[in-house]
Amino acid sequence: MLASSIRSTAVRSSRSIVRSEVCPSVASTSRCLSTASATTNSTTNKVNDKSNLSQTAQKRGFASPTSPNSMATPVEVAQPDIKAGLGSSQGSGKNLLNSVLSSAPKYADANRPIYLDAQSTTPVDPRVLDKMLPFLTNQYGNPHSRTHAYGWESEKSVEEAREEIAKLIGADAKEIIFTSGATESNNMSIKGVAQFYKSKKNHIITTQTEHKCVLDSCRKLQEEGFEVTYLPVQSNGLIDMAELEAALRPTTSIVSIMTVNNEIGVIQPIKEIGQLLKTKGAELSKQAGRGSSKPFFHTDAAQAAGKIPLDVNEMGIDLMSLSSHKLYGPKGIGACYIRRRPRVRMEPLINGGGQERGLRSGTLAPPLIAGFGEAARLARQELAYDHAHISRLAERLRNNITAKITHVLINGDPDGYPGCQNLTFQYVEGESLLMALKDVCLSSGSACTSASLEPSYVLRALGLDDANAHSSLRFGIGRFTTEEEIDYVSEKIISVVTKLRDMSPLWEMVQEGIDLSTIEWSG
Amino acid sequence: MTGSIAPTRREILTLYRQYLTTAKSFSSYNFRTYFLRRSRDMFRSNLVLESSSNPSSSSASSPFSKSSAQAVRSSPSAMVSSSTPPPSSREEKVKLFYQQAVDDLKVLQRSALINRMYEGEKLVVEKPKLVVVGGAEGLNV
Repeated sequence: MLASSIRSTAVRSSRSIVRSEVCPSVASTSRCLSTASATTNSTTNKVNDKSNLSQTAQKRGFASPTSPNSMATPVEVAQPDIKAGLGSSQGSGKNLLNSVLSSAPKYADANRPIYLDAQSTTPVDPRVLDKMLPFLTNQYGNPHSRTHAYGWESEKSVEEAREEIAKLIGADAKEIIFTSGATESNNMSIKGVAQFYKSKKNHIITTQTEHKCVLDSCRKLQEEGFEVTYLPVQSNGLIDMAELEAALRPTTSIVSIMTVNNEIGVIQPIKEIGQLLKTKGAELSKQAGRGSSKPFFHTDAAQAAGKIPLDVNEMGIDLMSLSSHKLYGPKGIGACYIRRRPRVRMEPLINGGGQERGLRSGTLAPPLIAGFGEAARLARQELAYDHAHISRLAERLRNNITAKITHVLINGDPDGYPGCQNLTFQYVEGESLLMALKDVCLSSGSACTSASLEPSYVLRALGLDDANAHSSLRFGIGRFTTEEEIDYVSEKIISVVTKLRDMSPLWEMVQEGIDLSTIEWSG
Repeated sequence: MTGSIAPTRREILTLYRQYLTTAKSFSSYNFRTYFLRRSRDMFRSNLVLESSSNPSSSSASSPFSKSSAQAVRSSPSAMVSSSTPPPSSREEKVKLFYQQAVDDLKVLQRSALINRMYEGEKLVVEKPKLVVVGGAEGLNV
């Protein structure tokens, strides 16, 4: 190797010696080179005189073309030859794929925890990502640009996605408004409707187990002078229809009740509520003689869409909040269904360029919307298949756990959505259970409140005491969860709960038959 | 697409094999198992004759398990989009299914590739099971 390199330098140096021999003195070198270039020039002139035609024409004093700038009206007759620069022609990219795949990081250890938190978010389905990528690479047009092709193609995909989302809930595409997510949709619906009908109606009904964003919107409106009824729920998490009926007033402008609860998975009787508002609600409004419109029915279906069948017309829903990332779509996009007949009128939260019927201004995000649309299409296509799979896994999880450990409470209505299992492991601290379960991603409640150590207000609303609410875990099962994962998790839970209980003096007392509520603790 | 000719048995089997290979090439455990399960159920529920599918059969969700010979009845005619009218004859149905499946395979292949490019760490369940005789429990708590 070394020897060969030495030889090659030797050859190179000998060549340079030869050249210097042609032009003997250093001073004459430049002259020598210039004469050489002159001769080559003349030869090319002879061989290829086309390229130098204009040059020679100018030299000979023929009529010179007018420069375009000095012309009165520059008229371009034909496209000139566009000489594209470097990189204008695509290379083959040979072996690109192999080198990319072989250089992808490889992990030898298997330590990534199991994801069982489908209520907080779900992974983006690979098929959804495939639909999104064109809009993140080539098709970057603004869907509101009506003057060019880039805009049209983006708009087309947005409208197709809108159609798919509408189909998922049995609505018309024109009734779907894109927002940033279910939180924005909830805010927009509740505040928008309440504010619009403020002069005539000032009452809002919701439940105690709603998502934080609904409760907070209501609280905000309460500060502004609206009256809000927070309906209690029964011990299984369902609302009492009689209580709702009693709470209705002639001045009720909107009723907001979520379809599937995010913490306990109960499915509220949406169809009955819709029917009640159409009959009793409409009657009350008419009695008051206040311009007749019935109380509008808003439902937060972020956890329900694509998981259980929904039909806005059949269920009598006027407004519905949807979220993309709960149904295997991208985060950062959601939608709001707003009924057109009879029309729901509302004040927009965001004003601007008048996009989305003026209800939600701002440029739409075609990649996210295309992903959301595809996720909705897949959700509709796979609904029954996924539901069967998820029910099977939920049953397996419950059976595995309850077969091995006692004092496990299953929270919420047993006929709720099976993908959300909320279990209470009595006499075990929920947070310490989570700490011990390092390789399982679980949550003790909603992700929004997981930072605080307060017990879940949803579980408190069911009537659970502080201790039991603290000992609860939520298992979110999704499309991509497998049986092996469920078995692994239940095995882990069983061993950890047994271990923690063995250490607990409370558990010992329970085993001895002492009722903990009778104990007087010394301060 | 060669629209008019019904696919032969061999063509369908080749496609099925392609689906399985593609599904297996996903690097993410959850996607890999899902698409294997999905492909298997999709082909079975659409192509296995009605008589052999039992509505009450609870099939194992693991795509590797061969225990369930029956197709999951709950699976919708997966690839057949609802916008198209329901096919009349069985042959028509198979043809439509085949065409859709060929198109969807491309999506799946691209998806698998992207998934491979951004490979992540393996899940704990992917660890090959070591047979430990007692004692290792203490690591959990």
